Amino acid sequence: MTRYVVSRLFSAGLSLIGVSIIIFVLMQILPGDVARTILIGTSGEGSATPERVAALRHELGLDQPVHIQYLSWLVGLFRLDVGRSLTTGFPVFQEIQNRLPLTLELSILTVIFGTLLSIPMGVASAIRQNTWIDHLMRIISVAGIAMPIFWTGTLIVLVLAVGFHWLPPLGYVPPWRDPWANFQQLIWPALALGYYHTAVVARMTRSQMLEVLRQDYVRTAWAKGLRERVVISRHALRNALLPVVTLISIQFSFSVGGTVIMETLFFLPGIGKALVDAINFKDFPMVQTIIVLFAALVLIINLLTDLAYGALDPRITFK
Amino acid sequence: MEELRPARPWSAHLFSFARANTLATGGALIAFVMIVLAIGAPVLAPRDPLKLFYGNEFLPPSGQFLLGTDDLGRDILSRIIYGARTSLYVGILSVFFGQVIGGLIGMVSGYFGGQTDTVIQRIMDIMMSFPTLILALAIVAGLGPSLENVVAAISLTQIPRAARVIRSTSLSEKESQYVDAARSIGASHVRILSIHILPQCLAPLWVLSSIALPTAILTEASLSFLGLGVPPPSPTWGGMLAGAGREYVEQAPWIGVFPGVAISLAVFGFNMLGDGLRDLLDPRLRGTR
Amino acid sequence: MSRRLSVPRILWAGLASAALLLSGCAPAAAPSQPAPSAPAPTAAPAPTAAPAAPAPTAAPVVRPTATPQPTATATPVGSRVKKGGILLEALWAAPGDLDLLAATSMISLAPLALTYDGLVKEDPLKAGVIAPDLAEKWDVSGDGTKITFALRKGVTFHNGQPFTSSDAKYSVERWMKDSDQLAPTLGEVIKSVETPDANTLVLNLKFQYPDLFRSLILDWASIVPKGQPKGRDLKEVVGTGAFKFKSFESGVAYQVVKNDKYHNKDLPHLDGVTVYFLPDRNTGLAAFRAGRIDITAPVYFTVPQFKVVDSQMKGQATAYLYPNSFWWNIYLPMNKKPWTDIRVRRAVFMAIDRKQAMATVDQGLGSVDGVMPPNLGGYTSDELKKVPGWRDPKSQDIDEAKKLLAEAGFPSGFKTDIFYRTGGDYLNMATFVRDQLTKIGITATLTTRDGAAFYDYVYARSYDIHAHRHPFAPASPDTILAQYYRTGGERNFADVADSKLDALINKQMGILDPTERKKVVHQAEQYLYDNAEASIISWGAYSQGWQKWVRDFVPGQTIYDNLRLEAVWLDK
Repeated sequence: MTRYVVSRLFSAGLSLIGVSIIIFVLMQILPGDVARTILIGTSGEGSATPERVAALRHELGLDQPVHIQYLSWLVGLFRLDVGRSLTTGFPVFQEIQNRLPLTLELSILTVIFGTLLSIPMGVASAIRQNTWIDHLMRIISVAGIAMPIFWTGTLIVLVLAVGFHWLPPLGYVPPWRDPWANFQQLIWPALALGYYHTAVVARMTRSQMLEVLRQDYVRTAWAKGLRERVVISRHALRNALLPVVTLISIQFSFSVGGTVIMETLFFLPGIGKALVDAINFKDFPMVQTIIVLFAALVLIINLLTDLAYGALDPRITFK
Repeated sequence: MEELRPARPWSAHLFSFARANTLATGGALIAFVMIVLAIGAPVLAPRDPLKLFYGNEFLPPSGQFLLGTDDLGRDILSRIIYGARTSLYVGILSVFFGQVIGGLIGMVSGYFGGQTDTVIQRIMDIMMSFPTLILALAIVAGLGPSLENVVAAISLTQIPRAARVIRSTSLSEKESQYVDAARSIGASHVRILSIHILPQCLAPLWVLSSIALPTAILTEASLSFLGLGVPPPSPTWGGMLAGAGREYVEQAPWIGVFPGVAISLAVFGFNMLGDGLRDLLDPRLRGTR
Repeated sequence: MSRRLSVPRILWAGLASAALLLSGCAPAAAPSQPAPSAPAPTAAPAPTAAPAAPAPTAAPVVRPTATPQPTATATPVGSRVKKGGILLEALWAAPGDLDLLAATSMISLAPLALTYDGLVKEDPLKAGVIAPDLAEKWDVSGDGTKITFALRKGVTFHNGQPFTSSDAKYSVERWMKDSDQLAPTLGEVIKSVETPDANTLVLNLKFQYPDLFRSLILDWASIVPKGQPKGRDLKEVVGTGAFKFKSFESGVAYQVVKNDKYHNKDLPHLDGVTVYFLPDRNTGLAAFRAGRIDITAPVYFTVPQFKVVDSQMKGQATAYLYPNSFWWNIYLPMNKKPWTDIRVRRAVFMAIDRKQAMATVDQGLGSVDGVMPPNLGGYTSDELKKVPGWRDPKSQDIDEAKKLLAEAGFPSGFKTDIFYRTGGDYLNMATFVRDQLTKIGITATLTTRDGAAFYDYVYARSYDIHAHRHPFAPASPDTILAQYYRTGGERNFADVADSKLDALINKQMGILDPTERKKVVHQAEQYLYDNAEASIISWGAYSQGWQKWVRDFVPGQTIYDNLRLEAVWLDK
């Protein structure tokens, strides 16, 4: 088992290096000169003389050969010091540290909402197949999958602002400072994203449950006269949930992309928005580090999912 | 002697199928309408989607402008119809390229196995560990927003999954008796691939495509929303939502609501169409719908 | 039926009086001696039209002698000032760094200006009146090229360091070199800065410059401690201003608190200011309507938002427009085909319906002025009616444009591309221009870039047509003529390189007499139209909103004055 984990971690590391190379190459071909942008300012009308641009490029280390830039960045990753963001001047890791809690919190809230709502929905839908409950749930989940999350978010904003004249607290507040204010700020994007998750997971849960309910061992349980609740929870649910666990982990990695949209829509200072801004400004220390971070998160979640899979299904062993 | 019952016309079969699967049929109809709109846009759109009708800004839906006008006085209905054209064009093209290229890679990778397979799979894994939207974002940002680059970006995001699935088909097919036989008489790899393996991959490819198309449409809408989709002046649904739709959500909600509805309907329709197709091609799943 | 908001009469009255004030406040550096017949600053052959007789022209002007300090009781509202309270301000983004002198945009100016003073300032209670700040008195010498400032004594920076003339000298020299808004003029005009003693500052000008004080009252002209680090290296905000730096949380807010040791014992009235960063303007507007924001930074509200505040918050809040605070331009690089042919340039210039531009893109808020607004010496709307591009009915312009194109060899138009900076407003103007050009047979694609790539594109002149908006602080005609139309000007995005035009521009720079100067400015303007070298489309007005309980806030002449908020108080 340990050997399995170690070998997975090793291959994840290789994948990450591959990711970092691809992104580094992509950022190099982006048009635009960061030094000029910094001198000119984010929305300003300034002027950047060639001498000042050259001086700033030297100061930022942008005039070194490409492979040196890449290697020094890679080394920096391990020492948790990849230099400074080219647009804010603060260390990249500090920026990430400041913004990561928001994004993580948003992702976790999303998956929690998604799971809490969807599994009961899917199960109820399956055990009452073709009744009005089933139809209602199916419509809700179909709508959730179809509606783009930025539209759901916009609708939420519309209803809250126009219908209820409600306003979130101004300026992001981290949860340890004021949990209620923080909750008020993050609940809405989490719901918008969570709705999508609910939809997808509910559908999957439903079809998995349906399949499991037709199995012989379930029929045996019925025949034995066990109550419905026991049949469902002890026999059916566990097996139905296996692929759902995988799905939740896929959703986690989707939600990473989803937070990019939600943070942009709700103007939250998280990693997703930082990434979009960094791409626009060719701030490649930020872009590279953030994307590698995302990829690492995804790979770790995949690993954890596989382990959870193994825990849930005793038939699975790890070579 | 027993009377032979007259055969039911195929239309009757269709209707009973439709009644049994209302959701799927509804969706398929919507998808069909979208396709018609996309193809027939120049004829079906009542006005030029790019033209500014001065003095007619911010009109709510009315007899004159069925879905109202936006902040610059453009007809929203015409823009939605042309938006369908963009979304479907991008969606179908990227699914085509993504699945074909991915499928080829997967087929070859599974068939030849060994080192090639490992290397290719490693690369596919790397690509898959990027969240889809972020990969598409980075590619479009790198190459610049344009129709071709958006198609390229979305295709690239689809390749790894297609490669994975087709690879497993290819793996199982290469052990089949037909392939054994062909190999024993000395058939070339190309021949085996094209005659024995490829046809078996088509059905999974169809299924994959039907799942991939609505995702592609959503990704295109998301890219447009973030400002990195097909560039103006072409109207795109995501773009209509992002700009004036968001800004005037209180004063002129129709500007944002209709594109949102359009995206949802398109995704829903093609999802249902895909589900129906899957049912037809994969009978094992029929009972669990 | 379109939604048009009729701007209430009070607003027009306010705008009209502001315009009057502006036209009144012409040359600020009027010498205390009669206008000499000194030669013009450049090699323009004709001498300036200053009268030989010693009687100074009747410049109805602000003479820069010491005016009494604004006292706390001089409130136009007529009620007693209430002390205390934190003012909540809305801004749409956080500044990139803490260095005001190298900054370029309102997002730096609004928060950072609060902690500084200038040499002089605009009287916070009387728009357009020049008041002393860190300079108590000033004296303009003989030929108008030497200005001696007597600096206030006993002033300390927020860190306890005393303020002396060497800090002032350092600051002025930085304004001349690093300041985006000030360097083009100050850098050109000031020859040297001297400090004869710790409380005296002398500016030696290369030539008499009528608009010097107009530049010095902008809040960009802030006094910083000598040797202060620059750009990103500056880690703390230290000034002499009414407020002290408290905290800066990027993505949240910038906070300042009252400076108890401020050199004016009666000010500030507020306990502090918190500038919230609210990039979502819908949220900002909602917060404003709910009373959770007291005042917005200038520029914050979009046009539709201004209209909402103006119509729906009557009596609760003021929605104010800064006239002529931005302008839309269309640049045709003059050394690129087909713009090398004056007929083609003229055709494009004429084809654009400028009244419609303002109506569609700025939703009716703004003014259809020429290259320069009338209060700076530009043509009035009556005079513009005769200029191609502004003629009414528009068909005149369109027909002539088509004819010109045919003459130039494009009877059925041609294809081109319009470049715009990524962003909703810029896209709207580009879309509008594109639509307008279809009337004369020109079909255009649209290209956009953002961030780093945008600047690259602009500096490389990679565009065929570039439609852009610039904020404008009407300090002087130079701000337009020299920067945008003189050969080598920092913002000469159409690459205009016309020596005859340059001569006119340089000539007007040194003329003190406003009437004479206006004549030359007119000549320059007409020259631009005649030679199809002008870029102007139309002008717009940035807006600002503040609640009724925010007292004694008088908007400055431009969006860049009167942001220090030292005389503001909350009536709560």
